Amino acid sequence: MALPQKAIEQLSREPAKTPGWSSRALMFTGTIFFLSLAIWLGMRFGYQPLLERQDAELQSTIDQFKKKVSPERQTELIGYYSQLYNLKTLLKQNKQVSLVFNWLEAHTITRIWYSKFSLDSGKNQIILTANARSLNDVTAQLAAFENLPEITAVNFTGTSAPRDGVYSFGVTISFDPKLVTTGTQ
Amino acid sequence: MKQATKRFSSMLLALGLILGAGIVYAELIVPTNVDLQEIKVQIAAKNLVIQTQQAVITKVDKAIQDFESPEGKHFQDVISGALPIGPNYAGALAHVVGMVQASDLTFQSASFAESSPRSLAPANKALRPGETELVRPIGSLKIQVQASGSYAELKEFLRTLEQSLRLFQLESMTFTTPEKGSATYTYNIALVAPYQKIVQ
Repeated sequence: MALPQKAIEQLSREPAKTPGWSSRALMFTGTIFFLSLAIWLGMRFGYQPLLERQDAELQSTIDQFKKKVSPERQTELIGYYSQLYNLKTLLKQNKQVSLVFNWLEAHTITRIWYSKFSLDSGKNQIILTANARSLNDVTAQLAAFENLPEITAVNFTGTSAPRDGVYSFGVTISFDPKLVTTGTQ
Repeated sequence: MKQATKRFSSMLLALGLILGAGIVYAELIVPTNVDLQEIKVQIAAKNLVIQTQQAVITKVDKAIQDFESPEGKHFQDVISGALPIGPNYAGALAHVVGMVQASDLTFQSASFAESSPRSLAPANKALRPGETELVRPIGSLKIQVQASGSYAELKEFLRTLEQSLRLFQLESMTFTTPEKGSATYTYNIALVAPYQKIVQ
């Protein structure tokens, strides 16, 4: 009995694929390998040069900024700034010493006169040798100084026996720096 | 080729490809990525510098324009008059003698001494390498003036001193009562004339 034609065709055909090769696994791993290689190539030869170019452009912009103000001009401007800064600071610290005289005139009782005056503006201190006709005037003057809010310390250094009816006394006054900076009287 | 050999070969090849991908990642991609991150950080830092510098440059440009304008030159002259660059002994002497004479005091003597320079800049800021101190130190010229005259003339001298173009600071002053029958006091006045130190 002859075999049917369909069976003969099936038997005579070679298998379409040679079994054994894991083509899917090879395809998958190959894709991973070539993809990783492509990523590296892109990073190394595409993205990195792009970033390096950007970096170089920015550096050149910074270099141009540096050249914009010449070293001579920088020195000149710094010198000018220093002058302004120092002058401003010095003016803030500056003392108007004439205010001390105004203040002293205003707070000296009429029967007192001074024979020696010494001012130390750094210590905010006045050393006075004063004269009076009576001890009452001496105490009145000392009390006047002691009651003034702008005086931080009064140091009475003593009085002598009257000479020609005049008592001489010494007093050291320490005053608030505001007296010579804001004109407190 | 036998089926088993083919399977084994394909497994080996797949393993090799996976290993190859791993090596590419670890040996090439990771170091390249580190390099790229470094470049990105540099770019970000430089962008920040440019943004800051652009603002600074604009201010400096404005300052230079003001500095070079006629008003700016006049202002510089005023500033240099108040705080001259260098001690300017001749100017200081002329100023002091001028003020003494303008207030009708009688000039007797003036001695000059220079004190060591000092900085008025805040001391708490440390300079980084390459930075320049913006505030230069000042020098001080100590002038001891002896003059005589009345109390009113002294007050006029003090008024002139306080309004002087050049900055003078009165450090100390002493005077004693004149002899009987005289209204002339002798004043010993210690002044300080600050000046901008020249930095080479």
